Amino acid sequence: MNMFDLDRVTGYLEKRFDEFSVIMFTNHDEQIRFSNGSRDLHNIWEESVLNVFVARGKRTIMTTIKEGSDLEKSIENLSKRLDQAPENPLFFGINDRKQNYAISGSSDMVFDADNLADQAINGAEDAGSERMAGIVYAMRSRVEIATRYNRGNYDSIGVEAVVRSFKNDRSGQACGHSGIGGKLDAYAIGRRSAEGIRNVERHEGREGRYDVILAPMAAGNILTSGSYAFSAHTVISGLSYLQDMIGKQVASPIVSIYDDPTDTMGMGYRFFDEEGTATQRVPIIDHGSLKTYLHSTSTARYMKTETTGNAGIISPEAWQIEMSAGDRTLDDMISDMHEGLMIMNSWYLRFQDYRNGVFSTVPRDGVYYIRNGEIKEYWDGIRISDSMPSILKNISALSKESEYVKWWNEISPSRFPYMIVNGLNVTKSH
Amino acid sequence: MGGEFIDRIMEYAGQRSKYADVRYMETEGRGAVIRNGEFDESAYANDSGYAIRILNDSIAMAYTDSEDWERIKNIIDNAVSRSRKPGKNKIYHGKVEKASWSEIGNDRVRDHSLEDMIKILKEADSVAADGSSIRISALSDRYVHQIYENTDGSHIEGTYSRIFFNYLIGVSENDRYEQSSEEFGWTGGYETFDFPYISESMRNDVSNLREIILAPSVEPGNFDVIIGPEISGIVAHESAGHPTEYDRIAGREAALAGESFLTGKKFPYRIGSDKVSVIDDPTIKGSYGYYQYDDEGVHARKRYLYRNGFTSEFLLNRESASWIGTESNGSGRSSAWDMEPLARMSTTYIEPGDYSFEELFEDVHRGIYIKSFTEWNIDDIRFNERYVGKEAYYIENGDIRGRVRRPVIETNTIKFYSAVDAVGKDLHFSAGICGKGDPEQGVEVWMGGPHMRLRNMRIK
Repeated sequence: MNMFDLDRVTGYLEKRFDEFSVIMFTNHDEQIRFSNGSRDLHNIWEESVLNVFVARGKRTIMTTIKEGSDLEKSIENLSKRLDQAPENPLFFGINDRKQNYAISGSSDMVFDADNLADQAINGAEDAGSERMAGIVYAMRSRVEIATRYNRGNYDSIGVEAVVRSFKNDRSGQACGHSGIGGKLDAYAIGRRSAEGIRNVERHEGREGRYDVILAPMAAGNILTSGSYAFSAHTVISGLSYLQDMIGKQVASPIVSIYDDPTDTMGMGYRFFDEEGTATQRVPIIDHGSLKTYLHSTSTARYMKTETTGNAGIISPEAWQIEMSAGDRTLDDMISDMHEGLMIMNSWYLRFQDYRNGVFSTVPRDGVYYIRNGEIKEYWDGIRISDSMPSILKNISALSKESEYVKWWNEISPSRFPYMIVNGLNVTKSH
Repeated sequence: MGGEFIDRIMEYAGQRSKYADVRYMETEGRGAVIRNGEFDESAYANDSGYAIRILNDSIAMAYTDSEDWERIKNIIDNAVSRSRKPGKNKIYHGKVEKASWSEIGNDRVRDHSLEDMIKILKEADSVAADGSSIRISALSDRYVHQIYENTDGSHIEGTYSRIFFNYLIGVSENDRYEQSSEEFGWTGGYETFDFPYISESMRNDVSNLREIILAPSVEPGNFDVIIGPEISGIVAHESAGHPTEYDRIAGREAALAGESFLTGKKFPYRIGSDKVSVIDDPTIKGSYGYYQYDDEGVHARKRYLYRNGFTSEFLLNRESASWIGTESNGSGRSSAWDMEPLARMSTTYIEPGDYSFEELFEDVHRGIYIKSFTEWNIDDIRFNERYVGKEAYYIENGDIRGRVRRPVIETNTIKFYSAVDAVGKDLHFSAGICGKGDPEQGVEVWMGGPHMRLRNMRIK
């Protein structure tokens, strides 16, 4: 059901503003939270909202208008507030070219959160989980956009699941996500969360530089946290570790990273950005070479290039980061490793230096010490303390298999293979 | 004005459940950002809706922003149906509360224009302009009106406003770079907004960063360490506040923000030196996490999380209190109308002791004074933690000597609190947004403490 008549909304906006972009979301979401084998909570959301961006000359402002609001009054109010805003030197208009969107229309597809939660719990229990916790979150949103130049709509349908299992006070975690073009095997996610826990001797971690296999969740935590540097806005602000690096080698030659909102197998898909530009698969790093920053029309005009379909009108962002897979198997990676680590997941990444990408993050849900091709020890108490540029340059192998990963606010929707990073700096608590 | 269906919702949901409560919340929020002297973004938003909790064989929550009764009724019916599935279904009832409270101050946020906010931001930017290479400042405020009712007969109405300012400053020198980000927040009107304090912090940061950038790194080793209130505060928050949230201890957050090193322990459990007590108190006037009643209609009060080196009280909401058969201590907080209430912190701080600043330093032969921090993190059971110093100095024979660049404390909770042998009598707070839950809820908090002395800590 549409809460607002977009023709009426655009009619008001056209008269009062030079530029506008209005996006209407009508959301029906469900989420099951569970722990210790039973449901904690069933959440149900029904919401509708208009996100409105307007500009007069170089003055800009954003707002939301809720269902039930007096539309004309809200827009008059917006107009008055816009007059109070200073000029925004970074605003250079929104996309005025006619766009063709890959898909529009509606879909009846539904992800059944309730059923998927049962499957996730069963999978974990069948794989020997002694206790577990997790969520299944199914989202369904009707998305409609209107600007002076473009109109479009689609059904945004996605689901994510995460399960953390425990055996003998050790944890394993697995996650997955899917968009309208995929499916989610919640049972397999539950199973993997428990099967990933290896029964090897437990040790305190040891500091040093190691060759490290990062599993897709660990890679996702690090590389999606570091994706701020891809945004042209971050570059303009002086906070990107990729400043002045277009065309230069910023990563190992085996590394290709894309922003791919056209991949409907993942929940991060979308068909237009926040100013109505049709989204596309954007090669950011191609065989180690930095090809582009992520742009809106404004940042692109400022930097004399083309938009990549990543608006945020003022501040562009990545929608769904994906890294190309490689030619190795995980088993090969382990068996070929003389000495190193395998880190299954990581969290709480914080930067001490955005400009140089210096950070630390805390591995969890399985840190395994490998010697002579065999997993020998389970480690506690370590931390990855390194930098994004160093990690990108030291990726030496990628697996054939890759996973769609998304976890809480630690990993945004993305897809990564297993990867080996050489000489990763590992520190520990004393 | 919405919220007119609250009584009708209560009646309808109450007839179909063993327990129900409803919260109507409306907010007005505004914010603006200035970046390197130039206006960047501004936004404002009005938001409102109902959160309806239904308890039968399990618990279901329905969130709707509709003011159409048929649609509200449908989503309640859906939640009732979901709550018939098996699951956890305990909740603390407690006494019936009827009250209203307000904390919006005299200089009200709604009376301030966007122009006022921009003026403040420009002034802040100009303070840091000389000597910095990167400056980003943001100011936002939020007005909240909320009504809570439950089937036991409670009715609480609360109105408050909060103001938040944060900045990031970067300084470059040749190929070196140092940054500082700080956050400030208050509950009430703009009379609480301490701009001179913010300005002083920005000015000091620029001048400190310009010296830190040239300072040597520490030669790793064991030192006596004096930490400043900013570090006491983050430690209190991360390794006392979070691990005493009882939903973590019970495993409810295990797949998200994690568990607690206190899971499975017998209480009271020794966490360190008897010099250490940690308090969480939502009733400190003006504090960023201030409230009189929590978002579940429970009266707020001060609680000792750690007392003299032992665990004391947990942070409990209605759900987690029921699991251990005790009373909620008013820790149920929700960041928005469409979020479940979780056990949360408010203002968490290490209780001051009786040492003066000078006395703390007196018998430190070889030490490091770490006044503030930059990067930090902690593992999911809140045990293995790291704090990277920002403003830091060597101490020799009780005197502060030259600066040291980015000294790192990487330790665990028990070792940290066990190393404390003296606690200062000063007390300072800083603001933050604390994240938890899924969808993630950022709630406003203060964290604080005094200067403290720790013996024989590994610094690298």
